[in-house]
Order: sequence, then C-alpha cells, then structure tokens
Amino acid sequence: MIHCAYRYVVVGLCLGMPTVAMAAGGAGPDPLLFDVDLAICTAIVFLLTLFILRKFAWGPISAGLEKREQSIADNIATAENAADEARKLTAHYEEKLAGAADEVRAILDEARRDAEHTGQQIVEKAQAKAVEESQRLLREVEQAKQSALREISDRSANLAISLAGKIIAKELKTEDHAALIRNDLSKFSEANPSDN
Amino acid sequence: MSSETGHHHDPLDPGHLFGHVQDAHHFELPHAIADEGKLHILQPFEPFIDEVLVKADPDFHMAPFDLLVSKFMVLEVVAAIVLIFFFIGLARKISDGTPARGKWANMLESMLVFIRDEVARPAIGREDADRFMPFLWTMFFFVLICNLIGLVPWAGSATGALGTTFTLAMMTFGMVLTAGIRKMGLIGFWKSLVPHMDLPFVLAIFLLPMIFVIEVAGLLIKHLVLAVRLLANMVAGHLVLAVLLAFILKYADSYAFFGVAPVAVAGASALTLLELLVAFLQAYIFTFLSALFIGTAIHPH
Repeated sequence: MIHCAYRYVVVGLCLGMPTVAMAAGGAGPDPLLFDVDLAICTAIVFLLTLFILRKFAWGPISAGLEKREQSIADNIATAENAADEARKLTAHYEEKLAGAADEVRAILDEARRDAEHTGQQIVEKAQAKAVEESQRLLREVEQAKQSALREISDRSANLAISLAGKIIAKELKTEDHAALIRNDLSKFSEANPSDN
Repeated sequence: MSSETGHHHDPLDPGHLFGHVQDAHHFELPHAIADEGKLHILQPFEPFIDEVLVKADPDFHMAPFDLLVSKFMVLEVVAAIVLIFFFIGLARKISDGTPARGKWANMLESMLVFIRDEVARPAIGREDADRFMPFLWTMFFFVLICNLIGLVPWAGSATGALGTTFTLAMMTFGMVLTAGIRKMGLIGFWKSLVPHMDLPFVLAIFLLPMIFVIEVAGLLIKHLVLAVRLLANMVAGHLVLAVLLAFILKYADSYAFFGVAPVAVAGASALTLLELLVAFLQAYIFTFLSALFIGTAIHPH
C-alpha cells in the first residue's frame, strides 16, 4: 500500500505525465517511465558521493583555494606596503640630498669667507709689521746718530780741556809745542778711527 | 550485413530505438564480443527474490520495486568513483594552498572556481554561497560525468532516465527547502513564497491563499522542469544519434547503403560533438538553476 501511495505521489508530481513502471521483459517506447529502483539508487549514490567528497575533497579544496587567495591578497598588500615604503624613503633621501647640496654650498661660502678674512688679516698684519719694522730701524738709526754726535762732542770737549790743561801746565817751547800737537793729533786719530 | 548484426526487425522501430537510449538490465555490446550483443548485469538480489520471497509466496509482487541492478545504476556508481578519484586527487594537490600543477589539476580547479565564482556566488550571494558549494560542485560534476559517460560507446547516460533526473531535482528541492527553512523558519519560509501586497482585507482572504497555492505549485513545477529538461536533452540527443545510425541498418541490404552510410556516420559524428557541448551545457544549467532556486529561497525578495 505504501509503495502504491508513493507511486501515486510521483504520478501526481509529474502532473499527469505518463509514467509506466519498467516492465520486466523489455522497455516500452516511453522516455518518461519512472524506475523507482533507479531513483533510490541515484539518491544513495549521489548522497554517498556528496558526503565522501565533502569530507575528503570539497573541504580541503575550499580551504586550499581560500588559503591561496588569502596568501595572494597578503602578497599584494605586502608588495604595496613595500612600494609605499620605498616611495617614502626615496622622497626622504631626495629631500636630504637637496639639503646636503645647500649645506655644501653654505660650507663652501663660509670657507671662502673665512679664507678671504684670513688673507686680509695676514696682509694687514704683514703691513703693520713692515711699518713697525721700518719705524724701528729709523729709530735705531736716529739713536745711533745721537749717540755718535754725543760721543763726538764729549771727545772734543775732553780734548779741548786736556789741551788747555797741557798748555797751562807747561812752559812750552816751540818745538815742544809742535811735538805736543802732533802727539795729541795722532792720539785723536787713533782714538777716533772712524765715525760711521 | 543485417544477418551478421542479428537485427531481424525494423531498425527504425521506436521501441527498438528507445531500447538503445533507455535503461536496461544489460549492456549493449558488439555481437562478436557478447552473446546476442548483450552483456547481462550480475543480479545480486535475484537469488534472494527467487529462493526466499517467491518461494514463500508465489504471488509475491513488489511493484514498483524489482530489485534489479540496471545499466544506469552501474554507470552512476562508475561516475561516482570517477568523481571521488579525481577530486580527492585534486584535494591532495591543492589543499595546502599551493597552486595547482598539471593539466588535469588546473582543468578541474578552473571548473570548480567557475562554478563557485560565476554560478554560486552571483546566484546565492557572496556570504551564503560557500555553504552550498559541496552540493553544487557534486551536482555539477555528477551530472556532467553521467552525461559524458553517455558518449562512451556501449555505455549510456544515466541522466537519460527520469528516475535519475527526478531524484537529482528532488535533491535540489530538498536543499532549497532546508536552506529556506533554516534561514527563515518553517512558517517564515512558506510565508515568503507569497509576495507582499497591500490588499484590502476582504480581497486578501480570497487572493492570498490562491497565490499561496499557485506559488507552491510553481515551486514544485520548477523542480520537475529541472528534471524533465535534463532528461529531454539527454534522451533527444541520444535518440537522434540512434535514428541516424539506424538508417545504416535500414538500408544495409540495398545500394542506398553506400550513400546513406557515409552521411549517417558524418551526421552522427557531428551530432556527437554537439552532444559533448550539450553534456556540459545541461550540467551547467542544472547547477545554475539549482543555485538560483537556493538563492531565491534564502533571499525571497
């Protein structure tokens, strides 16, 4: 009875489509005949395949695909991050490089300024020294002249005094007189060899 | 020639033509290999029926069951084994996230990804689709392999019998019901079948039950059509091939044979290529509509 009921349900579901159970001997020319055994077999085979594949194939395959997609996405993100980082670094270094050029220019400028300044100082110093030296020489020449003059005056005074003393001290004869003058003159020339 | 092939009846007889397309309890093989061109399938339940059941009650009648193993049952099991073999192999290769290597692995994977990205996700939605992937993948490849086995000489396509396609459609129907009920609750799901309308109360009392009945009928018809579409496509293709080749037998004894045979062979070859397309197309359509029905069930409006 249950089988019959099942069959009526099938017939009903097929909405009046002719359903003829497969005859034991040969098949009639009806493409819509419904073999219950085949239907049950299909259900069992399909569900078994589904469960086996879900456990051993679809699960691992899905997980594998997911994993691969994730790793590809991660790789892309990592590459993008790295590119960003590189871009930032490049900008940073370019900035630094531009700064360095400025710095170099400033250093050179300063060095040039320093050099000019130092050169100026050296020249000024040299000039001052030269002036000072020439003045010192002039002063020394003046001093030498003064001391020479002083000595000449001293000597001539002494000579006059001693001469006068000698004249006064002795009654001189004419020959004596002449000898005395010669003597003193020679002394004078010995004591005063040169005045330069 | 006809005496050699053993056909003593009209080769264009519809019963005979359908016999080549429909399920049977034997495989059709060349007469040179098998006795009378038939390889009978081993029937494991036959001794049990004969010795136990019929002996106990000579009038024993089991309709609609006959407990006989048919050609399509064997081919379904073959399809299942092929499927399990292919995809467990693929799973071993790519489950750790490494890219697929080799022609087979890449081909199978690209088909899987196509079903996921181009069929399931647009029809069901990005976040829900993944739950139904095992069902949709199994459905697509089971139908596809069954269809393709139909192109192997002496085999047949299990999807050319209503028993198979109806059951597969009922699998989808079951999936639609469970998905919808799980999403919206038992009552919510049936309520969601009726579109929301601003009707005056009196009109609503009459109209809403009628719409409900129509929608439920539509739901059933949708899934029955799913079964019939696949069945019709597979049967029609194979039937046309059978007719074309039967022409050769029909004119085997006349001089027309020399004209008919090359044309029939050329036509059958071309149609076999078309069948190859249909095998993929119908598997795709079945899966696509299954995904669409599931999507409609969990996102009613």
